[in-house]
Amino acid sequence: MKKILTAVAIALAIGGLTVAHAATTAPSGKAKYAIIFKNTGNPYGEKEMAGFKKAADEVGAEAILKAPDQPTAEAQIQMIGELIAQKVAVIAMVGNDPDALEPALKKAMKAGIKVLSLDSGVNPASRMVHINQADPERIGRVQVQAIAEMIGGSGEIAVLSATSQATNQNLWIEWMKKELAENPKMKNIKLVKVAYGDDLRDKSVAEMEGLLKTYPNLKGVIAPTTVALQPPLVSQPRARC
Amino acid sequence: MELQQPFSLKRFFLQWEWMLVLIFVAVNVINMNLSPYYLDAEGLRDATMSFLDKAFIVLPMVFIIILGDIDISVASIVALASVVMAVSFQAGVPMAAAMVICLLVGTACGFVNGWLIVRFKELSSVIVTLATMIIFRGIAYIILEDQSAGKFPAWFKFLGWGYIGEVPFMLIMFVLAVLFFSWALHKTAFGRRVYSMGNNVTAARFSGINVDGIRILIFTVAGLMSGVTALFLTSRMGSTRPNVATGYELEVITMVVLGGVSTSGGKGRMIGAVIAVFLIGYLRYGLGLINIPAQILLIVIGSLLVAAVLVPNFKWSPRAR
Repeated sequence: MKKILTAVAIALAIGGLTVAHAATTAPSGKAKYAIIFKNTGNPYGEKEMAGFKKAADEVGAEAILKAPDQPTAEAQIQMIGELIAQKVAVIAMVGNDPDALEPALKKAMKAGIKVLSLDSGVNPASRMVHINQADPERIGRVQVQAIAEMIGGSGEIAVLSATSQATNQNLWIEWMKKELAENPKMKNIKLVKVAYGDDLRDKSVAEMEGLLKTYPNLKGVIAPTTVALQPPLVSQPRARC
Repeated sequence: MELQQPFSLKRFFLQWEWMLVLIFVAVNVINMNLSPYYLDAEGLRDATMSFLDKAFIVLPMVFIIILGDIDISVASIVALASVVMAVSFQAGVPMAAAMVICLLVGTACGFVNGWLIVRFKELSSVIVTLATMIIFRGIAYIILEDQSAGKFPAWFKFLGWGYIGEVPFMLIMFVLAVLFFSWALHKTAFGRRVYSMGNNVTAARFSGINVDGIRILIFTVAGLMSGVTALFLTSRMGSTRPNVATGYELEVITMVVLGGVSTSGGKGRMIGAVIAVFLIGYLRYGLGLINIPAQILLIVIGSLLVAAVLVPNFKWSPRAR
């Protein structure tokens, strides 16, 4: 019997840990503004979420910052469900997929939550407004112009992006392709491959090494995402934004 | 094989499953205290749908672990089945047929696992499924590269998001699957053979049990159920990519082990694993409601698993009986 009590004690101890943690996050009467970013450990995302918190504090709201440990839509769907249950006032979404979040976000809007997307947008049916922090056309065109300058106007280039569903990066890449097709100065530059490192450091490095091996004549790589700022890639030939 | 013992009320309540019920109640009580939003029928119901997809693999995994084997390729099978379904749908195959293809791909992968394990007895199931785990996901990457595929017809969403009356369709399917798998494990000669193989496979073979056939069958069913998970997961996502379901194999094995199924084989019951599915699911949901960072959540679940492995060792000692 004693041993069973030990077992119960262990179970309660685990419970106790979680209670202790929760004491620091007691709910307040303030309106809750939530943001869901793509994934944790993303330096760009940390900045975006810190800014969100600052702005929420200024208007007297409580900020909820959430990000899944993997950059997947399925994890974000789960988080949207948690936020609906908490009856937040606002969900600001940085989507990992333009379409996969639609059922979950529609449900949030039906529950009276204001849904907006920013940075990496979701499709128009899934949100009320989208806030674009930068002009995709300028980003795409200028990055191609920058790399053209760096490689001297001709040669093979590649793109190392985040996830293949990242709306913002995909839009930028579209504009890069347009710039390559439309600008006569770019006629000697060839985009050989768009690779996806999922914003994960090890995968990005592996993809980068793959690019270097597959395309020995590669002159430049555009990495329009946060991994370009991180050390392992900085040693590689690159253009970053 | 468990010996027939006279029914004793004390022993009945000393089972691991009751401990799980206790922890389950504790988790719920704690969650209610943590968040005023936890006790909400609609929220709880919808939270169920976000973890039930992988729960379909838990059922055959109970069989596999009772055999003393393990299958770590299930998540890759989910990804491959899902990708093949999406690609065949986009190639013009009707959706219903694409769904059948999804299940067939899962079943075929499971059969390959089972066949390899039986054919090469010197290799443990960990090694074989480690290899196929890499191969299956590799094929998924070859088919779809880094792209996503989707644009399924609207009715396909019903699988993952639909309700019959007020009950999620997924939950109904899960309950039916639980009933079937519990029946097969606990009420049939087949189930008793599985337990006897888990306890002593040599003895089982010499008692005339078709051990190879049973192993192949169980791994094949695990593949089929991975296909079922692929259907529900894809429906919830609305699109698929080769990297879906990453880490599902560990979540599934965690649920089974927490459910009291011994990794050394021959011990454990279906109901324990099913309780564990809901225990972990609601624990995650409750901690998510108070916005605990993803990493801390993993630590809590890890601690729970350590406790799950330790506690039966206390309880099943002769003195406690």
